[in-house]
Amino acid sequence: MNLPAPLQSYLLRWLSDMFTPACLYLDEEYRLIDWDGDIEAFGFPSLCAGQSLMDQVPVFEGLFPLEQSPFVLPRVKLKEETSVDLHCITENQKTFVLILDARHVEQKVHMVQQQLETRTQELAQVNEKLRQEITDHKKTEKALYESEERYRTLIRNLPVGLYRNTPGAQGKFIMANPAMARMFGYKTVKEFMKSTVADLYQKASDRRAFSEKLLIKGQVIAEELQLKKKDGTPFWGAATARLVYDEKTKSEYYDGLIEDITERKLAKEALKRAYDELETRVKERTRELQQSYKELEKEIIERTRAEEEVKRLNQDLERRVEKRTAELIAALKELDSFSYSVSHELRTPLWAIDGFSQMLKSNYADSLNENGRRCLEHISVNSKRMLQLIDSFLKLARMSRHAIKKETVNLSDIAFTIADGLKSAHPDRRVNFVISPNARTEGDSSLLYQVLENLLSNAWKFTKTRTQSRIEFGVMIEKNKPIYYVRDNGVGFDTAYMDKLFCAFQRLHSSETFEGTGIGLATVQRIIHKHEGSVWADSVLEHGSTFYFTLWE
Amino acid sequence: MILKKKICMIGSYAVGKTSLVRRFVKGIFSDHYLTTVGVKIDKKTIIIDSWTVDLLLWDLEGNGTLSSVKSTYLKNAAGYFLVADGAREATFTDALSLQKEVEALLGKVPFVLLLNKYDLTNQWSISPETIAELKTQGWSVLYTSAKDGLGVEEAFTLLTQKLLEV
Repeated sequence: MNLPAPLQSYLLRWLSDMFTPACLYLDEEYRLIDWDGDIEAFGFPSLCAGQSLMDQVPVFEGLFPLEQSPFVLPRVKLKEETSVDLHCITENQKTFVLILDARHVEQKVHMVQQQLETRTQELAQVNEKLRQEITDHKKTEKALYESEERYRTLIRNLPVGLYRNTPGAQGKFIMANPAMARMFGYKTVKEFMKSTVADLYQKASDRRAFSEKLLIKGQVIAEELQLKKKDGTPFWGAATARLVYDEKTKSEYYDGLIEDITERKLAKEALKRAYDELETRVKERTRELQQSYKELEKEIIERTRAEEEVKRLNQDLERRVEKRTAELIAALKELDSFSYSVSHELRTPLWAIDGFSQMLKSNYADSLNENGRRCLEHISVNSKRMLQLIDSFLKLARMSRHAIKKETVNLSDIAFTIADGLKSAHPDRRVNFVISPNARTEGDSSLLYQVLENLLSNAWKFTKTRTQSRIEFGVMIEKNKPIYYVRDNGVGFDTAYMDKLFCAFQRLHSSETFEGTGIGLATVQRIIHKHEGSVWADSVLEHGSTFYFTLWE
Repeated sequence: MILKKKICMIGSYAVGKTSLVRRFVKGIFSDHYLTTVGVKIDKKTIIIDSWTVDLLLWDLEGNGTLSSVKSTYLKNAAGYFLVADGAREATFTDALSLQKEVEALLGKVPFVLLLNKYDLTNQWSISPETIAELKTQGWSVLYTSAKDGLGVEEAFTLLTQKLLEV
């Protein structure tokens, strides 16, 4: 092509601007003659004229002689950020190398690569999204399948009959479950599906009535129907159904369920019969109860009357007892008073007998013989003893008339006082007193003093034969009640005579051995009884005795 | 005496040719992928058995087949590396067909098959049986990882030794 000079000039300028060319001139031995352009910018080393180009620029190693001219090595990268096309031409044994900047090609490729990467990433994202959607879809499909499977299993296993049928006189079944087929005596659902809806009813009128009701109301709930099995066996069924309109097929059908309620029906009837029977029995029993009630009422009236009679008699008896008691108390008081008066009156003559017998002994002892003096001595001794007995008896009588003055009493303090008195009176005795402290109670202090004085004095008396006596006062608790006791290691007594122990003037030991009037324990018993308590004793001969008492039982 | 040997890196795109050269020459690795346009020329001197060898490494742009342009790059190559991505089986197939094309062009010159990206063993798709089969045919096969540096030095040393044996 022969371009006009201006175009050639333009083209050269354009090529120069576009490719910033450089060039190398080589001799026939491929030594560098000269070069032009900024070849170092393209990654060429500093060149040296007259030396082999291959030794200076390794890229040309083995390239010469050229297999063909021109020979092109496109897009050669000698260092980063550069890319050149090397065009080699041999002419007249001289070789020329044209170096053209090829960065624009690389830039374009990298730009395309960048776009490709961006697009690849976008596609990857879309792909990932699509994969996620597919996964989700599969999950949904699986869930749907499982849900449908559950539904199918439920329908298959439900013990009630489920069905779908077309309406009309020739209604056919579209669907039924195994329970439905079994209920109507068919072996399989397939066999059941061949039957018509009308085949299931005992009476055609029942079917018509059911259908009309369903058409009017849209649904029927638990309608009791007389149905029949394949072999004609009648049974009761409860049917629930609804009218459904299928938008897809533009048709109506019935969905429903039937439950065999024959047993329930029979049970209900049996229950009704039982209820009626029970009602009759209740009525009969009510009548009997009413009769019993009337009789009971009559008996209650009679009993009330009898109780009132008993009450009246009791009141009469009480009045009589009270009267008799009052009479007895009066008689007892009179007797007490009489006894006291008699005792008191007897003391004066006794004093006289004792006094005169003393006088006789003092003034006329010498005039009497031995026998007379002995008789006189007997008179004196016995009159004194009789005075002692009367004094004791008066003391007991006074005590009986003594009114109780209730106050707090420390029995331990009383026991200490009495023990001190006994020791002072008989300093020759070796007696060990053991007294529990702070035995407190409610009662008459003077009477309780008398009780302890009598018991401790007895203990003192009946231990006199012991070289080392031990007397103990204490309290023990039984059934939350205190029991006080006085224990000694004296001679004891024979428990065979226990019943006489607390009787007045009864003595279990001779007065020669152990002095006394036989009134002490009787006094103790009276005082304890006045304090609404009990007193008793226990003993082992020659080992000692224990006297127990309680108060305010 | 210094020997000069031109070695070409041949294989499909993105198998790690440039990364292997960079690991060998500069000892570095970058995850950033930039496709090679044309050919990139590097130089590294190594000494083997008292020989000093200047290796001229021609890193060719990746492609499954040799184009006419690429053929010019191979001119006067003393040997070459066939590089495949062990996690992408297609690149292995490409390497096998490229080998035939290169051999048709250069004749029987030394080469080593590099199964690169061995750091991705969990995605490895080339069976040991296939490799064993190639080895029975006299192929030199090495597992390399430009990322970890695994087998890189060994690969270049092995090929250089092969070049010296010729």
